Amino acid sequence: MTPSWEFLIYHPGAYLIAGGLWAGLFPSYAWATSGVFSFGAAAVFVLRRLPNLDFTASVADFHLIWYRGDALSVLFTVVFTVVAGLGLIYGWYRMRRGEAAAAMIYAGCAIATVLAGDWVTFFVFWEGMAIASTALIWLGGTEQSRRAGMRYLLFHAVGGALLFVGILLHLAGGGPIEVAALTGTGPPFWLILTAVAVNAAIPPLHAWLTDAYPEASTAGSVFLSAFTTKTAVYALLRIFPGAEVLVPLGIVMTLYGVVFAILENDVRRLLGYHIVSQVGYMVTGVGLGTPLALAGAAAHAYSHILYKALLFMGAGALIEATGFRRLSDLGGVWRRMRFMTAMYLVGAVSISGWPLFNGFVSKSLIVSAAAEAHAPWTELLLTLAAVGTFLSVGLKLPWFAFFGADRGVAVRKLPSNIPIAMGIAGFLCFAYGVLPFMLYRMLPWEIDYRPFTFDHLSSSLQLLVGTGFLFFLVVRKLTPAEKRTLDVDWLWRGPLRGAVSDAGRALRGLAPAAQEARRWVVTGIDAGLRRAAAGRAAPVAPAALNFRDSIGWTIFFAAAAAAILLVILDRA
Amino acid sequence: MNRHASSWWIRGVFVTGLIFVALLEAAAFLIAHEHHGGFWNAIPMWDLVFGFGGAAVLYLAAKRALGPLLSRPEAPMRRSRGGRA
Repeated sequence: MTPSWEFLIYHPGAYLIAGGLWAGLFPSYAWATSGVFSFGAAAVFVLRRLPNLDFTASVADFHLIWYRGDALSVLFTVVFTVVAGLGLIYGWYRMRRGEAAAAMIYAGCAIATVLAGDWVTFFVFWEGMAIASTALIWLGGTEQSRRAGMRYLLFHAVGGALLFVGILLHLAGGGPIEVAALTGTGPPFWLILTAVAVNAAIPPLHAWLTDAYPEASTAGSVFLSAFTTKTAVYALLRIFPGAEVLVPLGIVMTLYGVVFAILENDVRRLLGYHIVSQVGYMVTGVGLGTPLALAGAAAHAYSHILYKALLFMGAGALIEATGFRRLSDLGGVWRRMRFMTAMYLVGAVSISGWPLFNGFVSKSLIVSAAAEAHAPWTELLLTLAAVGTFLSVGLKLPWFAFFGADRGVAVRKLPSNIPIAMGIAGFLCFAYGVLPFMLYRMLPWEIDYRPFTFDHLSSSLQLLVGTGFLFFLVVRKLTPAEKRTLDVDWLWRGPLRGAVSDAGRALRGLAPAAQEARRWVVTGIDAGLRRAAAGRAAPVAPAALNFRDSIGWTIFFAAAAAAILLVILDRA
Repeated sequence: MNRHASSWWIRGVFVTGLIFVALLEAAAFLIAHEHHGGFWNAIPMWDLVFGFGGAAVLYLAAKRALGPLLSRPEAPMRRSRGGRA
């Protein structure tokens, strides 16, 4: 180990967090500059990554590992950095400064979480990610985004509290401070697993995802699709490999997501259900626990981040160009947005597992691992979920949004950064699909797997063609209706509505004291930065205050939680 | 608006799909090997039937079983905006 603070120089997440802070605190257009520099610096250090090297620091007698560059961390860091860059390109003209800043901090915290080697650092950045993503949802700027953001925050506050108590019990019980696989099935195991399950959107703890992601801005959704659930998959791979309880949970996720996606009318909510479904594959892989299954879970997370970002970019482009977000309002626009349609279809065939695209080479690792582990029913149900994925994302969504009956929807021309970002994402989905060894050699587990056998190609194509036949038989009955599907959210829209309102009122009652503490933190940082800038910075516009608020909250909560954790541990 | 303007798509997809599947099945019959997993993998044309049948099961589960139970009319406020994002 290298006892040093040098990690700040090498840490890709540190650049994105610093870039986000810079963008948030300084005047308009600064975000573009800081975005370019922070992403560029992060990318350089990802390319020059330092595997198997730890950077540590001692804080209050605790030996914290702020940077652990092993193969699993590096795998997630690489894809997080790539998707952060794609998101910044995609949002170049549309993202407001606060949004860009929240997105960069969110990406930076996600990278810092997967690089964290100790529980305290892991918790701090895990919570930082929750707060920055909440800000990203709020900055969608609508009444719906404000309400959905509050529900999202409540979910993640509960998850954060469970994680906090779980870590505390783990460390108080003499557990090591390094983030590693948990042994035993005591309270820390279940508390931390439940906290991770919230972020992984395991039903019934998933409703925050399909509730909030469609309410962020179109660029915000691209970032949201990439980080929270995949950081949870990383945590499962790191902490719970082979936990058998994850197999049934993962299978339920895969099928739950596709069934609800078939019912869904809102384009981004439909894609949200497919995050639940696809993460289900990864959760199942972690639960199976064999090297092939774990490698499959990691590889599928990598693939999923790329094609899901592409799908959300496609959905966002559709919404930006037409102004509509429901399938029932769309149709027949492909002639007026050919490139966007083609790129969406690349994402759709990738997620559906078509040969030559990245979903094919990663999803099949998990399904094959189930077969090799003599779990035929798991294999069968995962295959059924793959059928449902193609039915809804590969056929229903593109048919009713891009093809099908032309409703004469007017299409606005989009800025060129959107097709550029989608083109790069589409190229990566294809590149990893035809050259799977590029993905396999990055995996922490050595595998001997050949995806392009005749049997595999033949069975996959037959499965997809059979699904296509059914779709075109019932296509008219699948016509989306102007309806909303109730999910677990029925609980707080109905019976628990009063309780949620009371919780909101209680939180608002605490607001003045917290606001004062936050003001103290933010004012101090702001004053320090302004002194450092020697008066060269222009006055901050009122619109920037929203973002500065969220940054203040991020720092305040993360610092407060870390301090409490350290004090309690010190006394234990 | 012509809701049936796309029927040529459907016919085209069916014909192309049938030709493709016929070729695929012929190739699979000639050179494929039994692969691992459940007994069903040894059944000829299993994957094609499973793709069709699986999609039918999911369609029925969603549209026939859960749909009537869980679908509610869209919020009037959103409808009044004509579905605009």
